[in-house]
Order: sequence, then structure tokens, then C-alpha cells
Amino acid sequence: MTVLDETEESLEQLAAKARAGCSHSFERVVEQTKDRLFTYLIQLVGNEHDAEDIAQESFIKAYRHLHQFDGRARFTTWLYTIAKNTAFTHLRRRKFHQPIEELEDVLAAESRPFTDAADSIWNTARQLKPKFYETLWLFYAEGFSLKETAAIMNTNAITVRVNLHRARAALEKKLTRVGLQPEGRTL
Amino acid sequence: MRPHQDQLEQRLRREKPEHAAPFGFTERVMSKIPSDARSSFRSDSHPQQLLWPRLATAFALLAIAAVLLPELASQKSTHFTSGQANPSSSPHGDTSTALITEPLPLPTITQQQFQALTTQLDDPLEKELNNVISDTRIAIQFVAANFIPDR
Repeated sequence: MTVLDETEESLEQLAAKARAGCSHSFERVVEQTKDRLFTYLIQLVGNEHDAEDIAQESFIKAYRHLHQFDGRARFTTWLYTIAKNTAFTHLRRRKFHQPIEELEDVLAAESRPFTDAADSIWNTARQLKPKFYETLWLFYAEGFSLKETAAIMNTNAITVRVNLHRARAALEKKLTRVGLQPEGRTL
Repeated sequence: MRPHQDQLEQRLRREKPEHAAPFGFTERVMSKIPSDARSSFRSDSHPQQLLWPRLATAFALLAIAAVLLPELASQKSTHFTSGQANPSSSPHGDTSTALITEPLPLPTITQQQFQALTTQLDDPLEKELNNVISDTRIAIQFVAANFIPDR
């Protein structure tokens, strides 16, 4: 998560300035959020090329609809929701024969496992159901709250809590099965 | 079970993969904004923000007129009738008769003026309706082109 200095403006303040017409403020928003969003989109679509296209489109959409950002949620929550919807639209455009309900599975199937050893727990997590993986990612990797995760996933906080519990249990089982203990030591 | 879970949570937080956006990403986004998004930022927000209040105001005015006009008309007619029934209440005995017999100084509206006014009132609604029809047609064409298999 981006740590802000006291003198540094928050994303919400920068967004407000950008809404008033200051494009430099929006440039700073892009600068501060691009890596995080890019990483999230790679998790979602599985390749850098698509992730870059979607990230670019998401930022442009965010700028166009800045007047709709009311500041009730954090800016990142709003941006991630746009990015997720854009990813779905992007994929739907490419796979128009696929029923919409199957898109979640398509996203997971397209994703390739990462090769870094440090990513191994996330590689194992990728074998979980897509909604479990996404819940784990948004909550633990991105640091969103239950409510924010729910907003991005277009569900409610109780469902997120249940999914988190099930995802952790399933991950623990998988880690034990592949010979990795949850605390990181090899069996 | 709980210590395992805590360790698992710690690992999930600690070991998340990180990727940097490609070089020149911000520049590419910003280069698209002034030419493309900025213009539509204006055009996207304004018609929706301006058209609906205008339509709503027009409808509200029409509704008020529809409610108030018959009421005013009935008030005038009762005034005239009461004047006629009690002519002695007026200092000049024949003024009430004069009020009834004299035609009201209402402006005369020609048929052309009335039609022009109707067209003017219908115009925004007609435009909106045309836009809806056009959008629906585009949506149907898009769905037909993308979702119906070639076979």
C-alpha cells in the first residue's frame, strides 16, 4: 500500500483537484496507483499485455467519470471496481461466444502461474476457485477491508467473510497436500 | 489451528507478487486524456445534467398550469356570478353588468402560433425519443454482430 507523507496529498484530494480540471493531479494519481493496479490486473487476466491495455482503459474511464466519484468510498476502491468491470468487458469482447457466467472461470484459466519462489503461496492459491483467489488477493495482498472487498466484488461483507474463511481453509489443505506448511517450511 | 492461520495470513500479506507498470505507461495514459477523454468528460456530463432538469422544469410548469388555470377560471366565474346576484353591493349599480357584457382583453392566438408552441414543447421529447430509438438500434446490431454464431 502506498504510504503518504504528511505533506503529500491523498488520492481523494488529488482526484478532487483533477475533477476541477487539473490534469497534473490526475497524472499524480496514475503515478501513485499504476503499479498496484497493474499487479492486480495481472492476477485477474494473467498476462502483461492485456493487463496494460485494461489498466490504460481503466484510468481513462476513471478520468471521464471523475464527476461520479463522490468520495464516500476510497479512491482505490472506486478505481479497482472500474478496472474489474473493464477487465470483464475486455474479455467479453474477445470471447463473445462464452456465456457471461463463465467469465470468472475464463479469467482463472487464462492466468499463468508465476515462477518466482516467493510467489509459491499465491501459485498454490491460484488453484482455488477464482472467487476465493480474488477475495484473498483483495483482502490480504491489496489490504482492502471486508466492506471495500465486497464493493469491488459486487457482493456484501458477510459473503466476503465466508469466502475468506473457506479460502483460507482450502489453501491450508492444498499447502499441506503439496508438501508446504502454511508457515512456509517444507514438510 | 489459529497459529497456523495467523502464519498463513502473514505469508499471504508478505509474499504477494509485485509487478511494475511498463515504462512510459503514465505518459501513454496522459497523452490520451486531453484529446479523447477531456472533450467527452464535458459532453458526457453536461447533456445529462442539463437536459433532465430542463425537461423536469417544463413538466412541472405544465402541471402547475394545468392545476391552477381551471381553479382561476372557476374563481373568476364565481366572482362574476356573485356580482350579478348582488348588484347593490357595488357603488355603481350597473358595473357588474358591464363586467359580464364587456369581453375580456385576452390576446388572440392564431392556429399557426399554437402549432409552433406545441412543436417547441414537443421538440426535446422528440429528440430524446429519437436518441433512445437510435441507441436501441445500435445495441441490437451490436448484439446481433457479436453474440449470434456465424453458423
